[in-house]
Amino acid sequence: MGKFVLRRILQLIPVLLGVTFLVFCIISLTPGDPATSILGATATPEAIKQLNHELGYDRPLPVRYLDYIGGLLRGDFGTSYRSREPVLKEIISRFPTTLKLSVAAIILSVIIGVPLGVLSAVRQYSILDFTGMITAMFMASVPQFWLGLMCILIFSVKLGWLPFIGNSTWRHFIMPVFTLALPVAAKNLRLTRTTMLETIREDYVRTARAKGVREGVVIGKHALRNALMPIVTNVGINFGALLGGMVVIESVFGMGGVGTLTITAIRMKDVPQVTASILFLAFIYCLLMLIVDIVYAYIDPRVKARYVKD
Amino acid sequence: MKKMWISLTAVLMLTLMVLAGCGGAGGSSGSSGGSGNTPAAAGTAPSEAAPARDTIKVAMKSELSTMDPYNNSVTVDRAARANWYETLLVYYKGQFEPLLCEKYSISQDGLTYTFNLKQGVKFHDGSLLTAEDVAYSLQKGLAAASYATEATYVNEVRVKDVNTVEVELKQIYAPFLLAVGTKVCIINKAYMEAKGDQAGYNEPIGTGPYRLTERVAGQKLVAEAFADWHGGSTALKKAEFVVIADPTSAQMALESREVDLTYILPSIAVKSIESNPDFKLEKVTALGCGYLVYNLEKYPFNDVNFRQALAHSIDRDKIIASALDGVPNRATNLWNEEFVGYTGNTNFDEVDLEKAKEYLAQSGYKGESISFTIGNETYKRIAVIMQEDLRKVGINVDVQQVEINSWIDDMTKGNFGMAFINEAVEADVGMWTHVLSSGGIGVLNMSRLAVPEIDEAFVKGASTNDQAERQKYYDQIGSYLKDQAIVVPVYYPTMTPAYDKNLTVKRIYADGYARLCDIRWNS
Repeated sequence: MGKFVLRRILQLIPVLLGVTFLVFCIISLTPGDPATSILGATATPEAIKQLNHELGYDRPLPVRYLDYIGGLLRGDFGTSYRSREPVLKEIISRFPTTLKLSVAAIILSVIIGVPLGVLSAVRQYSILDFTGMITAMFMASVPQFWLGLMCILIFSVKLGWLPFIGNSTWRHFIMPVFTLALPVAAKNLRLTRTTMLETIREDYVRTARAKGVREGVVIGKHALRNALMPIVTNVGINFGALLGGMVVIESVFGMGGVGTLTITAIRMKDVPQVTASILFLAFIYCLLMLIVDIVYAYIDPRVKARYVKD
Repeated sequence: MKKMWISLTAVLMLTLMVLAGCGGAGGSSGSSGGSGNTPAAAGTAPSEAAPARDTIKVAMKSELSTMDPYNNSVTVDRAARANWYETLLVYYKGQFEPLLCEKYSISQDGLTYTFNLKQGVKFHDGSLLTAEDVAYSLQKGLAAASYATEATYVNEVRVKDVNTVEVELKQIYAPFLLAVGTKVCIINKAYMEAKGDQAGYNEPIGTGPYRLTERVAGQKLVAEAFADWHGGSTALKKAEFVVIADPTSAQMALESREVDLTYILPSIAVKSIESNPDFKLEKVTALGCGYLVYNLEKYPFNDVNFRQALAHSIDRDKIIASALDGVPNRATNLWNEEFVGYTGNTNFDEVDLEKAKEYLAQSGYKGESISFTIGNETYKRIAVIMQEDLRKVGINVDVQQVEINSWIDDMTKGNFGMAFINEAVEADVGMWTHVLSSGGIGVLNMSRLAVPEIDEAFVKGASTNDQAERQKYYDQIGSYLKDQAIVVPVYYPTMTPAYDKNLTVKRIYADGYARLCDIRWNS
């Protein structure tokens, strides 16, 4: 198992190098230059040239890339063209908000989606099942910005129950977490239902029932455990997607996270900031996938046995 | 099953712990600002005995893009830092008012500006403002890229005595006071030299009425009143600027009393906020213009008849009513009456489809499809309305939206046919030189206008302090723009700051922002 983890960690190196290369090249090769974005309005050609030179943007792309990689190896992720601050500092200052939102949303999505999915499968074609599926369809189809704005309209503007601008108290997180969690919960619900429907028809489940095992134990211990693998994968993937893709929610709820930082940096052609933000998110995503693989081993003894054999 | 429930309970508790970890000790959203959803903060008129509130929460559309006071490219940055950094002068409603200087004078030859500083002005660290600080700041500002044009005119900045600074120009530069006097932030020389540029900018020490006390990346800025401010005591003791990028969220934040003042609103909400007795809304015509620009080097825009056809086809009132919810005022020229050197109402041509068809018939246009590129979703509605207007006279337009950086690149390199642009320019007609002179080609002169007479008129207009003479040159430019239909001005961008009815905002500057010292709660 240790070997497996070590191997996966080593695999991260080429993956992350590939990410830096792709992002650096794409953002550098798109039209425009950072000085024009930074200086804006009344900048003269001389001023733009001067600033691009100061930023080192007038050097050839391969030279800039190798310089960037050299910096990375020394632990220097670069300095933002826009704010002139170290890019890692900018990311770290915003990451707690993104992480709190993602963790809370993913946990809530599991709490809502998995039990409802199990119930839908166990009571297939019942009112509960139909209600669950229609709700899931609604939750998956509603655009997040609309859901967020409706939550604000009802719970902040009309009822005055919840604050929504900023992140200074736990109450500020309720609406954004709920808004983020619902679509993921819908996916969890549908996936859990589908996989549970397959597993509850398996022979071992029928055998357990024939042996007189209580229905709760049959579902919870035998069926759900075997249905968990795709659900865990789905949760891992959605967690990664949440970390990098909550720009709309950050914007609607006035929460400055890594998503907003990255989008702003792309608009400003802030190459070091964009590269570092995406590198950081890719690293977290890879780690999550590693954790998902490790969790597999704990859920399914067959997977664990394979690791042990290795 | 029991295990499953235990696991679910554990997960639920974990969620609660994650959320609880977000908050810290506080449990109230209002914090010191008193904003929030409590009845007291809900905008109900305070009783007569109640003291006026002294805190405020303000919505801004973005966080500060830079802490560098000499990077002038973002209006939000300039508006926020005007609370902790000050300038020698301020420009308000067409007048220069002394701020850090008691008075200023211009020598007979127009080449030397003398600034006599206000005495007893203190920086936030308690040290006194001196001419050394002002000279240091001016030199630092003029070395920055944002002041590259102004720097070419300045020969020397010198300290005359402890309270007097002189700036000597190489040649007369009429917009000098506006471009430098009201723009360059005065910083503390000793503090900056000890701290270094970036660290010094990150923890600003200025002479302004407020000190920046907290900056949470992507979230908020907190400013507290500076007790020793030379302007006296301020009504607001503490202010929180919160970042709300989404205009609809900002509207709801105002309506739910999450914020007391917002500088961003969706244009569609302006009428409803205006008619809501709980709020006040001001319409401030910002400096600049939204206009149709086309590439004069390319067919068919190199034909004046075709350009005139365009100018007579576009219904600006319809655009303002339909695409901009009737908020901004119709443009009569590129510049408005707030500009120094305003040339009066040039009155670009009204919509006249028959005349447009006549011009089109005289042009060499044969019905080809013309590319109309936009770099911003905001202008899509405008472009579509223009497309429909032009179709009526027989001009075929293909509207394309491209990524903003690609759009800028295409525009500056001349790889476009027609486009819509909203240009923000300092309050002096002379500043449009970047947009309309041949020297600006490749940067801001998107239309690629290169007419020696216009170049000369801009140079001459900036080279005299005689307003009547300046007016003559700018009239000449205005007439040329109209006669040759170089651009089609559509509207003057309008800021719509909205705030609680219990607030009094003494003045809002032409950039659409107020300084905190001009705001107070009614007692």
